[in-house]
Amino acid sequence: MPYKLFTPDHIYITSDAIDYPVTKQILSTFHNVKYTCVDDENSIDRSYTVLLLTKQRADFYKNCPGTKKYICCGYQILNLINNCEIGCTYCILQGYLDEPYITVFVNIDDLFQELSVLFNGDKNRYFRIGTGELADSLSTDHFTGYARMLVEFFSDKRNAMLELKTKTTQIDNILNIRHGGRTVVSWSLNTPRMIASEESNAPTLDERLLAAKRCQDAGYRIGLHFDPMIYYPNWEAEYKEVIDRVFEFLEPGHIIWISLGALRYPPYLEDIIRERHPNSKITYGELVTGIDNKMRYVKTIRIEMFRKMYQWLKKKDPNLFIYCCMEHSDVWKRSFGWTPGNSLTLKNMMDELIQ
Amino acid sequence: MINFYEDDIKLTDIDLKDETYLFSFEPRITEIIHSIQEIGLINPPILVKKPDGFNYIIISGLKRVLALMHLKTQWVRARIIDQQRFVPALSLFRLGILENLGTRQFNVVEKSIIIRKLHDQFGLKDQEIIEGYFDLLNLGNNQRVLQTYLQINKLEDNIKIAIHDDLISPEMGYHLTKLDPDDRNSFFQFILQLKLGKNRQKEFIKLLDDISKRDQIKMARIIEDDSIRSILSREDLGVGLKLPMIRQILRRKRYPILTNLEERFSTIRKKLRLPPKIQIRPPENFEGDTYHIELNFKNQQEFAEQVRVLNSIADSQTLNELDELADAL
Ligand code: SF4
Repeated sequence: MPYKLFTPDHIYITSDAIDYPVTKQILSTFHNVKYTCVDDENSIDRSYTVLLLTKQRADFYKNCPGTKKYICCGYQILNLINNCEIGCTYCILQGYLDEPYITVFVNIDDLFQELSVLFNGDKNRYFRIGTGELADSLSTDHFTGYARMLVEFFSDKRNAMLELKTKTTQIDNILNIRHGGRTVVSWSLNTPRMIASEESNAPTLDERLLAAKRCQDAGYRIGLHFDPMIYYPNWEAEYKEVIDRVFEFLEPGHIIWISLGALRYPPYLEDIIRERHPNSKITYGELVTGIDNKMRYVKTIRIEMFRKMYQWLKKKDPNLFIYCCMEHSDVWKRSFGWTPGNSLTLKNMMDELIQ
Repeated sequence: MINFYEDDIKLTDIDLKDETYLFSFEPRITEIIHSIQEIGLINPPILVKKPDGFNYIIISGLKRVLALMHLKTQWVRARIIDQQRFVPALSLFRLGILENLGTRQFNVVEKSIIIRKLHDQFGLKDQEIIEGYFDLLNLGNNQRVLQTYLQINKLEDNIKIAIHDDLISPEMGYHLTKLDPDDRNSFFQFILQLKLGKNRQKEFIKLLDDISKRDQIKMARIIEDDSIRSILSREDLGVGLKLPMIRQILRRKRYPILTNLEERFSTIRKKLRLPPKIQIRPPENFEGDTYHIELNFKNQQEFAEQVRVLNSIADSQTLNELDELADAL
């Protein structure tokens, strides 16, 4: 299915969000779509095609909910948008968020103020921040325009950088703007077979790589996330082909980091995946309960996958920075031959890459 | 308010084929026969006259009527609903439920028959059933329970009896409704042959379901595979021995890599020749990187002996093999 930009069939606006410029701009973009003002979120039609415009009443900024039991990259997240219409079979949001609809928080000025206070309040600390935790960073950018505002905001920050993580090709808003090298644009990649079966509403591999190349040409550094890697009979040949394909589009010198992560999910997601995506076979892999209580492939499988990926990638360019997302130190060591040992060391290494 | 009058009714005037108001699922009537023989009929059945004006339909008391027939009785004193003032069918059905509740608990299958009738025959909406009847039936107020009980009624009678006899749970019954009849029957026989308890049933159905969906083969084919059939048919083995053997076959199919690790670990453990009082355990699911040793001793002498054994294996190549376990697929 070709990638289709999200258009809501109904917009709800909470009363405290009506007067924000972003609300007005979104309503004018979707001038043909019906909208309703509501006092609270309880009266909203719980549908995937609904868009809710509201105010973020909590903090925008949060630490990534990594676990102490595995090594985490120390990333921080901004909750600007909740939910995503792409509907990947394995998406954690299916079980994590209560609502099926997409929520856009329109008080973006409050976000910038919150971040300014944060960055100025601790100048010795380095902030590596992303927006791709509870949503795809760019899938709603055709009507929010947030990416451009964020990139420009971060462009002159000395102790902070932004990572936009996406599977989409929605980069036009950020191509010809001042980014100051403070934004990394990242793509989540998978094999064409897995894209077709598990990410079927997202752009193809080549479409993603072409978008990445256009960002590279605009001077952005690129991040790549092979996550979630899926273990299936022909995985080896097919992931290797993806790596070959990457370097037909991208210069290794422009790739700031590459992460490897194998399929994992909280146990309750298994039933949800089976019910919502009956054709998906990912839950029939050899997944066992990990020490963080999430389902993961048996460790030997992960080691095998990461070890091979690491070798193939390093062969392309030994200087590539490759890391594991949420893995045990033992897995790092057996896969890569080295380990940062703990989350802080990994965070520092990644912070240095960007500074 | 429903009005009654009492009358003596000929048993042959009761239309047993009309099950509009019946939900009883109690295949055995021996106890009630004994009771009637000993003390007679205490509670008269409740009947309603059919529109033809001649025959009667049972609202409540099917087992009593069957027992009387069995005892070759010809007449029964019954409470008849006076239909001079029309009583809606749903009220009669509810009356039957309430009357029965006064003397007994409903079993799972009866609850499912009631819910299915409310849904299909009386056209009640899900929420009306939950709100109007779930408290009476002592069921948790939610949609999932409703779906479970709606489906159970579709099962074959032998499976319903197994649910009634508490050999399988309502949830397992619901799971069985999702299988095609071949697979369902095959798994049901498998439960009976291996005398699987409820937790084991859950474990086995998950293993079988996963293998079946992953490999796209029918569950019945997995169960009827030679490797399993040959164990099931062995007369020299009791169920207690067959069960772990079959479980391991299925686990090997479902988790080939994990079971291979377990088996290799077990080989290493045997090679270490540790006495029974020293237990070595791998990390759970081979996920972490830490093995555990447990010593069981009664006194210093036993402790010292175990330490000596541990010392003797400290440099052995076999211990190194543990480290290699995680590396090889
Ligand atoms: S793109 Fe990301 S956020 Fe969107 S559905 Fe897929 S995994 Fe979830």
